[in-house]
Amino acid sequence: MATIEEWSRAFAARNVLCRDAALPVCHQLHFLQLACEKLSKAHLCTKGSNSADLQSSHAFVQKTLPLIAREQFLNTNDRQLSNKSWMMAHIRHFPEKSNFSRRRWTTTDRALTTANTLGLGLSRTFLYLPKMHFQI
Amino acid sequence: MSLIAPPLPSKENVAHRLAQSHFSIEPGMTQIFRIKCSSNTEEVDPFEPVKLLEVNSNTVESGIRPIHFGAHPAAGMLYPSVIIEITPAELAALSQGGLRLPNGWLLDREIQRS
Repeated sequence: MATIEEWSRAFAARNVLCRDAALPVCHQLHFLQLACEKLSKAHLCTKGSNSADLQSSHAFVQKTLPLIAREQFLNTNDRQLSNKSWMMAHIRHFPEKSNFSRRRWTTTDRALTTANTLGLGLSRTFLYLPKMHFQI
Repeated sequence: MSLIAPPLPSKENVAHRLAQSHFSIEPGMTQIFRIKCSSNTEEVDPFEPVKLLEVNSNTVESGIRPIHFGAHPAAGMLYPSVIIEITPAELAALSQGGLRLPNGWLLDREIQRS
């Protein structure tokens, strides 16, 4: 089992990848998807959720991620909260687009996603995610 | 200079303010209810979170999933909070007993949008 230090390094590396402008946009978006999933899991784990439950389901991200974002907006003391409505709408849409809501991934899903991450001969303008392709 | 700390705002006030800010930022928010503990002594404990049940037409149906947040005094949030977000259909299920709140929590009054 990976140590906490190894996990920390892996998360940090993923964050760097999210910001690497040299990567195709589809790969950056995929790393962003993974980072959002880890963010949601980390939040739930620190608040006492059972980590085993989080291993088997992606559904929690679709509910947790928008609430974490909203809390961050509120904590900035911004009085123009209604201006953030459009951002909330996008944040709520993002996990759905990225297919976080799937309960379980099949072997094919994992292979496609891994291939997408590695850029194995796939188009630079499409992100391959389980059962769907969507244009960026 | 007074060395006496000002009293904490009531949870009722904090819940109202939190609910209004959530109404402002969430276009799909239709109703917000307070949730309280079954025991009043537990509810008035400052470490007991302010709990809101939010009905949002833009969320997904995934049952009752309380999400905890810590206090944030710099932003005026002096109590921890718990948000349970459900869809209008899930609210109907909750009213009919198909869904239940955890920890013996009770659905309290609705906070109106102001």
